[in-house]
This record gives sequence, C-alpha cells and structure tokens, in this order.
Amino acid sequence: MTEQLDPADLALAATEEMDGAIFVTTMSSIGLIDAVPGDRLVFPAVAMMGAASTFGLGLAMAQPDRDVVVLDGDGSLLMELGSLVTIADASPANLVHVILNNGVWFHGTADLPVPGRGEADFCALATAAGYRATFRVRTAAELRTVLRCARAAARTGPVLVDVPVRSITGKAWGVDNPQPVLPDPYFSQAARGAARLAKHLEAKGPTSS
Amino acid sequence: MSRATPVVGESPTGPWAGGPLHAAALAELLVEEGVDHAVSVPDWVQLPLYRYLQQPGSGVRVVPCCAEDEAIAVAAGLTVGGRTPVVLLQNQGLYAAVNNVRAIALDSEIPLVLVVGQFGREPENAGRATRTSRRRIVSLLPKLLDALEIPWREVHGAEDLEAVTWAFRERAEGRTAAVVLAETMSWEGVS
Repeated sequence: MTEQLDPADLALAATEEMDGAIFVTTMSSIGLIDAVPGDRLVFPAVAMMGAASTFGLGLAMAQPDRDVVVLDGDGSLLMELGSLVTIADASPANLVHVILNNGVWFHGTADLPVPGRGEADFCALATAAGYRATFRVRTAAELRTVLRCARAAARTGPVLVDVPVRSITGKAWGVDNPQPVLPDPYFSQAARGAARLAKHLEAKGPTSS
Repeated sequence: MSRATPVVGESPTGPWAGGPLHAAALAELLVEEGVDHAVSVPDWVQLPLYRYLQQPGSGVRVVPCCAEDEAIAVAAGLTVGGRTPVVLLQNQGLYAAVNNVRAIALDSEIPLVLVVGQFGREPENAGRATRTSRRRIVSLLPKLLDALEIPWREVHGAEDLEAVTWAFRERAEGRTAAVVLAETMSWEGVS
C-alpha cells in the first residue's frame, strides 16, 4: 500500500538530503521550498508550467559538478512529457527529477483531476524514456533513504523519484472565496531568482564541462 | 543588382548580393561569439548548420529537444548556469514556443539568441522582406516578434551575417531575446 506523504515533509527531506544542490521549483514546490528555513540555490519556474524539467537539464549541463534537483509536479511534467526523452538523451550525471504526485491541478483550492491520475506510471515512462534509474516512495519512513539512493544513482545519469503526496488542504475557491489577485512580484520572482542564481554561479567560477 | 528567382527543388544560389549564407561561416561566427551549445528542434533551412555542428571538433554541443518550448527552457538553464547557448528553431517552432519565450526571455529576463529558419518561404520572396511573403507561415513571424517586443533581424545572404553579431551584442547587454531570421543556407563547405 502506497502512502501519500505530506509535501512539506518532502520539501524538508529534499533540502537536507540534497544539501548543496541547485533546486528548480515549480507550482506548489515553490512555496514548499521557500518555507524551509535556510539559504539555498533555487530557481522558481513561475508562470512557465512544464518548463522546470528542461530548465533543470540546462542547469545540469552547465554545472556538471553540482547536483540539480527538479521538484516537478505530475501536472507540470505532463505539459512537457517529451522532456523525459530530451533529458535522457542528454544524460546529465547530476540531475534528480522529483515528481510531487498529487493527481490534481490547483491543489486544495479546486483539485481538478490530472489526466491519468492514479494510472499514469511516471517511473515506467521515465524508464522507457531512458532514465538511468527510477524510484517510487511508498512510505514516509523510506523517503530519506530513497532520496539518498537517488542522489547516488544520479552519478551515472538522470534519475526520477515519484513521490505520492497529499493535496495540501485549503479553502476551496468558490462564490465566497474567489481566486486571489496575484500581485506583480509574483510574476517577477523568476527574474529575481535567475539573477540571484546566475550571480552566485558566476562568482563561484566555471565548472568543468 | 537584379535578383534571380531560385527554381523550386534546386538550392537557391543567385539572389543575394554577397552570395548565399554559408553554414560553415555561420558556425564559425557562432564559435567566435562564444557559443558552446546549440539547443534545437531541427529546421529545414538550417540543415547544413546541423551537419556542420555535428562534426567532431565543431566546438559546439548540439542538444536535440523533443519540442521547441523545451529548447527555450534548456537554453535558459544553460545561460543561468554560465554557458552561451544558441537556440536553432524553425518558424513553426517559434510559434509553438511562444509561452516559454514570454516566460523566460521576457518575464524572467534571461537573454537568449535564437536563429529561426524561414521554412516555407516561396521562391519569389527570396531576398525580400519576410513580412511581404504571401505565406502566413513566413509573413506572420516578424509581426509576432513585434507584438512580443522582441528585436529581430533578417539574414537573406552572406552580406547579412552581421545580424548574428548584433544578436550576441544584444545578449551581452541583457536584452531579453534577439532573433535572427534565416532565409536560406548553403551546403558549400559542409561535408
């Protein structure tokens, strides 16, 4: 029986077990990682749903001496599913592709079902695409062990970790609770993240290619 | 100078004052500009360039992508990571990738250089302004780029190669995206 994990626990475990890595976040993982105390290298892929995985590939190729962890969503990956093949073809030896698999879009507020919910097998898709290894987290107790194994396995090629997570509980949008107006800073956080990350990496100097 | 009309089915060789654009010359210029990765979904017009870049020792790693929106994101990651990619697409591909171009080059302010092949250009339009093509696949592209406020230049033949230098100058100044529209490309010098 597969357990649905608390996504906040995943975020905490990922930051601790993948210490020193560059994180690429998107959708719900942006807020989850931001909520974990500490300073780390993050690019928030805001308003580019589907692009996190291939942005992570570019970073991984550019920075082969660093681990890159993409905290993707099931719905986000489905938007650029071909990226599995693109990533496997490029075969970076430093990319861990984590799927926060909650089966819905707009978790906790609309919970619209993602196509293939509960049926689409991301591990099988990644294996068929050519990923070097895949892992499915079945219980909270094994989460950190799986993340450590995935990081080690990524030394030989891209790996995918499928993590079933609970939809975050929230107040459903509706007549009495419409969708909020998103402020300007929401749409500029990717630019701030890109500038901060580029500046940090430039200061550290080039890595081997 | 009068411009001859290329015959459909033959390699166009005549209507450009400085001769056709040679893929080898373009590739050498890309390397001079520091390009280390060519991220791409293949384009009909730029086939000689791919052939050249895939040769051992070209100095450029070709990164094939399954879709053009992926190519934009891969190039963005490379750029933030300190590399110098060029994105090679077809006009149809740019149409398909508009949201990532908006999100990455415009809203995320990650500068990219795109070379976009003008697939489907009718022979009568060779050497003329892209927007005057009678085919929408060709003529809509500059209008789209203008709407996105993305600067672009056309490369009809060898005499227009400076547009590539211009694009990388734009990149160095952090200007969102700069697009070079490639009309045709010669196989000469490509084995």
